[in-house]
Amino acid sequence: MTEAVIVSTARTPLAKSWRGSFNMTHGATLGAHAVQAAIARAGIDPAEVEDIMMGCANPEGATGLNIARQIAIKAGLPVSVGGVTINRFCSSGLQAIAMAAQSVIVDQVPIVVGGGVESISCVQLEMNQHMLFEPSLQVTKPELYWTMLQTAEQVAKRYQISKDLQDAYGVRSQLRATRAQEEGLFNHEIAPIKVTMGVADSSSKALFTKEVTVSTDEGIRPNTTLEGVQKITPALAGGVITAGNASQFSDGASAVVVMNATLAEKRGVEPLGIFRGFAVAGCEPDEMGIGPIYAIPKLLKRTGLKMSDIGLWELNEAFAVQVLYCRDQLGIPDEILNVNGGAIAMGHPYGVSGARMVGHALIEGKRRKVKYVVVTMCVGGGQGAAGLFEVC
Amino acid sequence: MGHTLFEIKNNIAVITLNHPPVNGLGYDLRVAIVDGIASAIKNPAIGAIVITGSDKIFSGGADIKEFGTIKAITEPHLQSVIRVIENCPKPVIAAIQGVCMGGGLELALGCHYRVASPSASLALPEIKLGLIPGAGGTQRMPRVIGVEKALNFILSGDPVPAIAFKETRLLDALFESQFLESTIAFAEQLIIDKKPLQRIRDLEIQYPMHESFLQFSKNTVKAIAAPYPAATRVIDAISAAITLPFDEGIAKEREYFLELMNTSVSRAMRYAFFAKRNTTKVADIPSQTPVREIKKVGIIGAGTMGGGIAMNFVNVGIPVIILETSQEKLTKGLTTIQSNYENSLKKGKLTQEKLDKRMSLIQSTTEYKDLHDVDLVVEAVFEDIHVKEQVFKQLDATVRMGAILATNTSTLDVNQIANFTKRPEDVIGLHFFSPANVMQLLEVVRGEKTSHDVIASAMKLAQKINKTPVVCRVCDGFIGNRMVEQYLRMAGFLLEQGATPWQIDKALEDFGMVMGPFRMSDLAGNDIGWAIRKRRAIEYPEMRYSKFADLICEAGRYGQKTGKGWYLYENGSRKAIPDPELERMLVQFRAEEKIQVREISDVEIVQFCIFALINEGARILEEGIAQRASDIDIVYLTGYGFPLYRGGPLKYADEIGLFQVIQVCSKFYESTQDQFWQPAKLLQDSLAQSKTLTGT
Repeated sequence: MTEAVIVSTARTPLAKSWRGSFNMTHGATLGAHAVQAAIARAGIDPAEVEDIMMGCANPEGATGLNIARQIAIKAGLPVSVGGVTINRFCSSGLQAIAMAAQSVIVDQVPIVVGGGVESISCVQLEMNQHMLFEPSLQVTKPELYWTMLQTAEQVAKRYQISKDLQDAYGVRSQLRATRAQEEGLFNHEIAPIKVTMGVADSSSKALFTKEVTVSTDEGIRPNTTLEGVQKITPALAGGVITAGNASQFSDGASAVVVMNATLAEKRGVEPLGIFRGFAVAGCEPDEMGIGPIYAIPKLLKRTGLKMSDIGLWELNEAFAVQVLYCRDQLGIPDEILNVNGGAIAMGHPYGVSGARMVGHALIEGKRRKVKYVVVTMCVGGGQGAAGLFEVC
Repeated sequence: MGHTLFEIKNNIAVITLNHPPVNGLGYDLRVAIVDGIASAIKNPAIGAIVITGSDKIFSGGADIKEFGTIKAITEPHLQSVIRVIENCPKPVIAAIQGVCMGGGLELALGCHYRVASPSASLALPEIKLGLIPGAGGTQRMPRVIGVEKALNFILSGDPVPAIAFKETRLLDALFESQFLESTIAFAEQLIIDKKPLQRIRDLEIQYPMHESFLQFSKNTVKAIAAPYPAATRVIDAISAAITLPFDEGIAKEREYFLELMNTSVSRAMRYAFFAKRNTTKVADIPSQTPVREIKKVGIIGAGTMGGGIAMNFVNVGIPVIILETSQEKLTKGLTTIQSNYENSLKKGKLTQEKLDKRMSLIQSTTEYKDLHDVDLVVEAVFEDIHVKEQVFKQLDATVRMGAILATNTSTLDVNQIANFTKRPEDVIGLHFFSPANVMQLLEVVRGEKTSHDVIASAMKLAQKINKTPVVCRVCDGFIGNRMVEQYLRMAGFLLEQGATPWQIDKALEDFGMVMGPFRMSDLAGNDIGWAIRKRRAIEYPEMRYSKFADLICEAGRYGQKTGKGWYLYENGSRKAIPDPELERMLVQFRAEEKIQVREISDVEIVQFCIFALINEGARILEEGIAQRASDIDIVYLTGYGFPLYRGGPLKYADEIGLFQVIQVCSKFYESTQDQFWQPAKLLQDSLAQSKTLTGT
C-alpha cells in the first residue's frame, strides 16, 4: 500500500489578534509564507507540488475567495498547482493534512502541501452575518449556535471541573511553552516573517503602521503565576472561564509537505513522519470540548493501537477545562500531554492549530524517540478529530 | 465688505478676514470672501489673490453659534465658498498666521497654495463637538499629509504647529518673518513662473493598505471611544477619500456630518462646550466689576484637601502659606505635596526645576499672625461648625482687612460661617473637589452678604488656577453634593430591595458614569456619608435612609482606606472585588428588616438613581441655588463623572423629554410614597409651557 510521509513543516510565529503583529496581514501573505518555507525545507521543486490544501475556520474576507489558491500564487508556485480551502473549524489544519495524505494514498498524487491559515484580526469582526442562523435549528438545537465560551462553561458545570484546576493548567501551559521557547524547541518549525502592522501608541493615542520582523510566538508570558491567573475576571459574570485558562486569539499559518513515501526515498528526502490515520466523531454541541473522547477510541480501534502505544499527545488547548476532562476520561498520562504548552500560551488560530500541532508533534516525537504521536482537538458545533502519525 | 478688508498690492489682491474675535466663518464673512474673489477675478490688473487673517488668527472656523440655525445653511455656505475659491481662474493663496482651525483650515485647503508662519496653529477640532470636519477636511487632508497623519490629526482634534507640516503638500512655504511681504513676493513669483493652479482635489492618494489600516483603526477606536460615533465616521470619511472620486467623497463626508449633527451625543457635546463657557457669567455681576488682586494665599489645614488646594496656587506661581496646629502635621502635609510632584516628575510631566520652584513657593506656619499679609485664605479644616467658628474668629482677628476669607466646606452653612467674622461680605465658599489638584470643578458659594467684587475675584482666580467655577447660593450640600445625596439614598433603597452594589454600579457605569455610587463611596470614604447622615437625622428627621450603609460603617467598612467597604480591596489595591461577606450581611439585613426581595432591572436602577439627580437638580434650579441648568450640568460633568456624551443630568432630561421624566418620577412616588419623588414644580411648569430645562 502507498504510504504518505510528511517531509517538512514550517509556520509563521503566532501573533496576538488585533494588537499583534499580523493585525494588517492578509491571509494569502501568511499562508504563502508558511507554504513557501515548507517547500524550501523539503528541498523539492515547487512545480512538483500538485495541490495546496489549506484549512481555515472562517474562510471569508481576508481569508476568503478560496484562500488556498491565492496562497499558491502568492507563494510563487506555477499556475499548474491547485488550491483548495477546507473547513472543519478548529480541526481544519489537521483535516487538510489528512486529506493531503489521503490524496497521496488514494489518488497516487506525488506531492501535496497541507496546512492551515487564520487571520482572526482581519476576519472575525467583519464576518457576513446574513442568514447566519437557520430558524428551525435555533428552536430544535439552539446549542449549535452557542459561543465556544458557553460550551466551555457547560463542560465545567456538567463535569464539575473546578476553576482552580483550570487555572493551574493555564499556568502549566504558559510555563511549559516558556521553557520550550527558551530551549529553542520551536525553532525548527517557525519561519520568521516581515510584515507591516498597525500600532496604537498608548500615550499619544496615535494610530500608525510600522514594519516588524516576527520570529517568536507573541502569546507566551514567561512570568505567569497561579496567583496572577486566579485574579483574572471571568469572561462571563459568575463563570469560571478566563483569559488565563482559555486559548488566546491569534493569527498565523502553518504548512507541511506530504509526499509519496517511495518518491521521498528515491529522492533521498528524509521524512519527519508517516500518516497513519484520521478519525472524527460528533457529540452534543453544548459540550463540544469533549469531542476528543469520542474520536480517539475510533482512531485507535481502526489503527489497531492501544492508549499505551502512543508516546506523545497534542490535545488542542481550546480551554483548560476540556483538556482536563479529555485527559482524565481517556487516561492520557500528563507527562506526555502537551509537553511544550499549547494554545493557552501560543494562541489558537483555529484553522492553523491542527497543522501546527502535527508539525510540532513530529519534531518533538523524534526528539523523544517515540513511535506514535496523536494530534487531537475539539471542534465547534460538537465534534472531535484525531490524527495518528508514526515518527521517523 | 465690512467683514473683510480688500486691498490691492501691485498685481495682488489681498483679502484680509476681519471678523473679531476669531474670524468665525459666519454668513456675513462668507459673503464678503465670495465678493472679494469675484472682484479680483473681474479686475484684469490682478494676477493672484491672497486670503489672510490677523497675525494672531487666520480663522477659528465655522461660526458654531450658527449651528442649527438658518444662517448656517444659507448660501453661500462654507462648501460653496471653497468651491468658488477652488474654481477661481487666478491662483488663490491662503496666508496663515496664528490660529487656523476647523472651517478656517478647510478654507485654506480649498486654496491653490498655502503659506504659513512656522508657529501657526492648525487643527480640525470638530471631533470635540462630536462631529467630523464638514467642508472637505476629511477629503483634502489625506491628500496633502497622507492617510495616517490625517487620520490622527482629525481624530485627536488637537492643534499642531505649522512647522510640523514642513515637508508635506499642506504648506508650500513657511515664512518666519516679514510675513505679508514674503507672501506677496511668493504670489508674484507664481505669476512670473506661470504656475498652474494646484487643486488638492486633483491629487491622488497612494495608500494600498488602506483597508487593513482603516479596519485596524476602527477596531481600536471602537474599543476606546465606544459611545462617540464621530470617531468611526472620521475613518469612514477617510476611507471615502481613498476609494471614491473626490465629489462622491465630499458627498459622503456631508452625509456623515449631517448624521452626526443629529445625534444626541453631538448635541450633548456642543451643549457642554457652551455650558462651560457660560459658567463664568454671573447674572447680577457685570463683567467689568473690579477684582481684588491675589498675590499670596493662606491655606488652613495641611491635610489631603489643604495640600491639594495649595498645589493649585503654586502651580501657577502664586505663593502660599499653610497653617497647621503642629509642626508634625505640617511636615506630613508638605511631604505629601512633595511626593505628588515627584510622581509627576517620574511620569515626565514636570521638570526638577519646576518642582523645586513650586516647593519654594510654599511656606508653612503654626501661627495665625503669619497670615496677616495674605490676599486670600482658604480654610480646609475638619467639617465641624465649632472648629470652623474658631478658625474664622482667628482669621478675622489676624488677617488684613480687604483679604478674601474662603471656606472649603462641602456641607456647612456659609452664611453662618461668614457671621463668625465682622466682615461677612469678604467671606465666600470655595468648594474644591478631591483630589483638589486634579479635579476641574470649583463650586463658588456666595453667601447672603458676600460682596460682588469678592465673587468676581473668586471667578477670575478660579480661571487663573485652571478650574471650572460654578456659582451657587447657600443650601445644604450646594449643587453637587445635594444632588448626589439623593442619588446615593436611592441606590441604598435598591440595595435593600434586592440589588447588589456591583449590579447597581455596573448598571450606572454602563449608563456612562465614570464610577458607580458604591465604588465612588468606597473611594471617598463611607464614614463621611455616615457623619452627614447622623447630622441629617437631627436636622431632617423625616428623611428616610437605608440603614444598611450605617451597618457597614459600624462594621468598620469605610472603603478603600480600610481595605473593605462596599467591596473588598486586597493589599492596598484599588481594584473593587465583589465581597461575599457583604452579600451575606445584606441578606441578613433584609431578613431582619423583613424586606420583600424582588428582581431589579438595570433600567430601573438607572432611572431610580439618575432621575433622582434630575428631580433634585430641577429643585436647585427652581430655588435659584444655581443660576442656570447648564451650570448644574457642568458640576456633574466636571465633578461627578457624568458622561459627557449625555450632556449632564438636566440636558439628559431634556433629551428624553420632560413628559417621560415626570411620568417616571410620579410612578416612583406612587411606589415609594417618598415625598422626594413628587416631580419638581419646575419640571411640571416647563412641560406645561412646552419649555425645556436647558433651553436647547
